[in-house]
Amino acid sequence: MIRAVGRLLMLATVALRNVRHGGRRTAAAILGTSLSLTLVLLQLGFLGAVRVTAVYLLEQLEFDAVLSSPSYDSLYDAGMVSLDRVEQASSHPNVEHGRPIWLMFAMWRCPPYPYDPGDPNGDDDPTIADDPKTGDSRPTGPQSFGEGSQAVIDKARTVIEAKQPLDALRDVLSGRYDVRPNFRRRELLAIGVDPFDQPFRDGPVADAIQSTREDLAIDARVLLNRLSHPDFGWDLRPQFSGWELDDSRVEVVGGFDVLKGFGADGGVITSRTTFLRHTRWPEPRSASVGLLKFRERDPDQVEQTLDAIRARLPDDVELLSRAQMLTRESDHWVKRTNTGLMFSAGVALAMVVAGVVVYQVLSSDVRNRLPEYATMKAIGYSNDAPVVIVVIQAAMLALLSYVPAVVMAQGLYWLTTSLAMIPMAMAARDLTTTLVLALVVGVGVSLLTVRKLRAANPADLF
Amino acid sequence: MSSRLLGPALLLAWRNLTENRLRLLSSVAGAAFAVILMFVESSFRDALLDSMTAVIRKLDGDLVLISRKLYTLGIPMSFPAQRLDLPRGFDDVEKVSPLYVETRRSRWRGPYNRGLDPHRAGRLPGDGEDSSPDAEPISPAPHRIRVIAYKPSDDLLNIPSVRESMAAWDAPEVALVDVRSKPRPYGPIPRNQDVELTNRRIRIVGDFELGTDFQNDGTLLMSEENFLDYFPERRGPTASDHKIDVGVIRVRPGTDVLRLKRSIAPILPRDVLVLTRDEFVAREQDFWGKVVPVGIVFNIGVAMGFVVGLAICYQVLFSDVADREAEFATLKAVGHRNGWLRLVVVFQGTFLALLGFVVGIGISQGALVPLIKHFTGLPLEFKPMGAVFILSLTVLMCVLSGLIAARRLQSTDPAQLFR
Repeated sequence: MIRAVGRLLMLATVALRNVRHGGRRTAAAILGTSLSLTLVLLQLGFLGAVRVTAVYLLEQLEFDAVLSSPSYDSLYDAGMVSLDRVEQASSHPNVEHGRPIWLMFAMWRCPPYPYDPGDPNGDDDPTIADDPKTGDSRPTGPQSFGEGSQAVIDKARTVIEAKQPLDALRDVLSGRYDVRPNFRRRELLAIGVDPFDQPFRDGPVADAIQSTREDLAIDARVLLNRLSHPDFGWDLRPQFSGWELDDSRVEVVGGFDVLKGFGADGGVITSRTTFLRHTRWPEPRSASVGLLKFRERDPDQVEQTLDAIRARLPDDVELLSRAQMLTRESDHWVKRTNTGLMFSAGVALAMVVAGVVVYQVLSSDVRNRLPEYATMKAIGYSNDAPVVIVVIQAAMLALLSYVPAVVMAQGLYWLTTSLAMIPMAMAARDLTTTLVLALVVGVGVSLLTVRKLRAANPADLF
Repeated sequence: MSSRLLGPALLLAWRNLTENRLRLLSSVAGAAFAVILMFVESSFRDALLDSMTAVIRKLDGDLVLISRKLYTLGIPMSFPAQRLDLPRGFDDVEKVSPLYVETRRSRWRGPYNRGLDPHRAGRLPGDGEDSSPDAEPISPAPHRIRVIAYKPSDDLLNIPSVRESMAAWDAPEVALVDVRSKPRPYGPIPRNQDVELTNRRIRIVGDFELGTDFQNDGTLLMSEENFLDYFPERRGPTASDHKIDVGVIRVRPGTDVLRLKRSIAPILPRDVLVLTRDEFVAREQDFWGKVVPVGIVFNIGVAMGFVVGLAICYQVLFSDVADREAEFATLKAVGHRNGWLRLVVVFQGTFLALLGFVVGIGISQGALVPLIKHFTGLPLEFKPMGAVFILSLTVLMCVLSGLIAARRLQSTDPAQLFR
């Protein structure tokens, strides 16, 4: 036993020496492997961003179970659930409260960019001719700027040049400083809640609603997502006042923070009454989903409660636990949207490429050292000794490549987040997947070379 | 360098690369994977822009009239059909026809759709109340589908199968379905079968090929009359009050389209814009390319493919050069210059690039792209210019790595041979 461990240690030392004295050859091998691992981490990060943004909004909501329509597709296209069903479900003794929430896409009137301080309403493109507050008729003069007007472009350029280089790059890539007078209306996600009984978990969104609830309760007042695409105009909030939600004038009374995902570029939170009055929601007695909060929340109780409520509800509504809901939403984005499918294909491809690179690196190393292994055999080592060395060496190479790969991927994540404004975070699962991939492929490939090693014939040396 | 030495350099590079078959295979596989990666990522990027503009590019018209508020056809913005009367007054205008697009209210429920609960699948939501005798079992879970509509006689979409089946879909309560609609939400494409659209029965009488995009999983095509029946909110009191999404203008042959556009623009009210079809495509691409971050992500993917490819090729060429150090030293000893040796390595890299490119393009276009196309329904088209771009990236990648790998040869000393 001890002898076996001793021999293993000895072979491990040989493997370490092989790596250490490989010089530029080993450096090239590590570079190649770590770049391909970086690629895997990057693609996993993209896919992870799809998952994270898919459930981000749901995760901010307080619920143990959710009532949704049978035609539920994703939170952005949820169908309708009758408020009666929400009440019916809430009458179960274990339900602390049931809260409806409304979500629907609505048109948002964005401030013009670049913003003209002399024209606080951005009057070139109003839907409504009159200001409801003052009763003044808005001037309906010619457009304040035409397409491609030189002055406007110059103005944009000064803004870009005043920024740090990366900021400017990001702004250009994200279209922020483009002169796009035509994109004055963009769709955002309107979220309707009861300001005095709001459904968000304790956190920044809940605080934002609670601190402005008196304001929000008044008709036509909204909170704008601070992290919305810049087009939606959060930055211009102090100066601009011509906000419109669908076709009616609204006032922005505050902001909240929800990550921008692949589903919507921006969002507003409104009171239920504002939502029903100013969006095109068709049925005031229905909501998008009903969120149920339970009193007893241990798994058995939750399961029993779910069964009991399901038994008393008709077919026009579905009841899912929190976990089921989150899984369904994330599966929808990863498996059913083209965005998710493309990122999944990217992950698969990156893994294959990484496998090929590792194979190449190792097999060329084995080939180069074949005479040395043959010598080992000539002086009496067993057939297995070179195999053990190569396997250990493969594991070392994998680990050595993994560390710089994580560092490089961190950098690329940061770059992607700032350029594409996608939330990229290194998940423990992705880190493990990549490490396991590197080790499994490395060791697997080194076992593939066993035949070559076994066949190493000392006589060939001469 | 005299051109007399070029031939031998090429020959030597080729021989070096192909000396060992197995090694050649693994080297080419490495380069090919980098090529595949770049190909797939760049076709994803193109797919984003191409799919979002597919309908517009198929429009058979020279100019379009759209709502000023429209920023993407994925989110239609309608305007009264009356606006079409203004361009009709121009002599050069042959025909102005309305096109309708609905993406929000249109819900499809096919015989194969299933809800989440298996025990509920196959039943109508209000079973029993619905007593129509021919009621087929249709499951819950309707799914959003894009509906495009126009008068069949206007012939607005340049899709052969749509043109051929004109008579078939010019009938009440029928529609054509896009065969590329995703099987996942809609089920297998039904033929001559009833499905539900916004809770009303409709018969699928044929199909056509268009493709999905990032907003829509499938498409139905129907006549204007049917569309106004299924979406009555689009119907106005008179024909000129119907809410349409695009006005398609066809001009007489030989007309200067841009000049016509400039003369139409000033007479239009402020709620509509006139654009050439190309401008409409550019506007749509501008929105999706810049606003949606997915494009940037795939550009990063192409760049990463290039960098990884660089590392793969460097690895291949470097280990080859190292193995042949003695041969290169001998060549130096018999009088060849460093430059010539470097040229040999660069040529070897170029051969590797070309072989890798051929294999890579074969695998990606022959197997991967059709596979991804099948699963996403996206229009992943082969673009010759894109292929040329990738070819140049591949050659650049191999030449660069060849130059780096050949640096080792500078210091190669023939005397080392005899140590």
